[in-house]
Amino acid sequence: MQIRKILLAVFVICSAALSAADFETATLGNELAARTEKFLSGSTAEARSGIAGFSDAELQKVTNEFKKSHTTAEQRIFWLSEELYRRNAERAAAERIRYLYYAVLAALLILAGFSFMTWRQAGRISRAAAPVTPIAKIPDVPPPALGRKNSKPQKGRSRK
Amino acid sequence: MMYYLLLLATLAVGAWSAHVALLQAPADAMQGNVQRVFYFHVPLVWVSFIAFIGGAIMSVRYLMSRRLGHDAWARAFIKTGWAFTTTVLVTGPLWAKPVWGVFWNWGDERLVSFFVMWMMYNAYLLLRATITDFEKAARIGAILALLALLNAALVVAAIYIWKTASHPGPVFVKKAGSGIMDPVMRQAFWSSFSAFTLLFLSLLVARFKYEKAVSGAMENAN
Repeated sequence: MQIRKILLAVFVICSAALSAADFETATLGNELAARTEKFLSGSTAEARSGIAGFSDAELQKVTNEFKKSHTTAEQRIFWLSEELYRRNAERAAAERIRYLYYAVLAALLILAGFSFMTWRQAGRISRAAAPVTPIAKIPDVPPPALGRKNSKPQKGRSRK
Repeated sequence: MMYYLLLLATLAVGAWSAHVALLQAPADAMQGNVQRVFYFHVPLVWVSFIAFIGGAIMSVRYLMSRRLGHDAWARAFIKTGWAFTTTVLVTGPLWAKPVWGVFWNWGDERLVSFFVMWMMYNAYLLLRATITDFEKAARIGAILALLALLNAALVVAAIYIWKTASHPGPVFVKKAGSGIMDPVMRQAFWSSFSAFTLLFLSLLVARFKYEKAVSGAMENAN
């Protein structure tokens, strides 16, 4: 009885291991299965460049089928792998947003600084050229001629 | 009145381009959101080159006519171009860090030639600020502006001569699989391109007003 139980356990483990080793792409559908086969059998460079060819839905489908062919323990290893990628992707995205923010801020600061400097210098020149508030100026008017009190000609001068 | 219309157009196109480039355009599949830096980095480079070509043309005209008005235009072009080039040199490394992993690559001929060009325009500004004889400074500055333009031509040609890894080719190409393809991305790029060109024109006109007054004062002093 004990031996039978052991044999049964060995059979279950071996069959699970065999099913895990074989990922049946046939369940994915003709077109996707063909592409997945090509992805699996191609060179590393081809496989890497082929990743972008899968849509989000296709990736989900392939991943689900692949997970089904593995044991619970192995699936948990996938969780860890997925978590690692998620954290890395999040970190990379946050870093990219941060650098985009820095770049926008730097560009704004430099150009705003230069614009302000130009505006200030140009403004100073125009203020110097034309005062903002006009100042009233009394024109130089010659004093009115006074009536002569003494018509006697001055000495040393002669009328011509 | 025309100047205020130009400023208004700059603000309107600038706001629209910021909206399209930062919010509407999709994030790049490979580079993510940091690729949006490209929408202002490349137009800034374009404007810098326009400024330096303008500066060189006005320098040649100054050397031929010795009129300080031409020199004022040359100074306005180069000083405005310098501000835009400095922005390029700051935004470029901020894009490069998350994408290349480093802020700067001294092995890239385009980066190095661009940096040398920026240094030459720094030399121009330094020279104009330190030489007290205004006409002598204008003459030497004009020659330096022409030399710097030769270096600018080298910056453009660098990707064809050395085929650098960091700048593999022009942004807009007919070849499939390269350059920007998405229509919203193109819209973001061209709106930003227009906004920076308008901003450049606005700053150039204001700067010329100032430089012309400085030249006038120098002419009166002599």
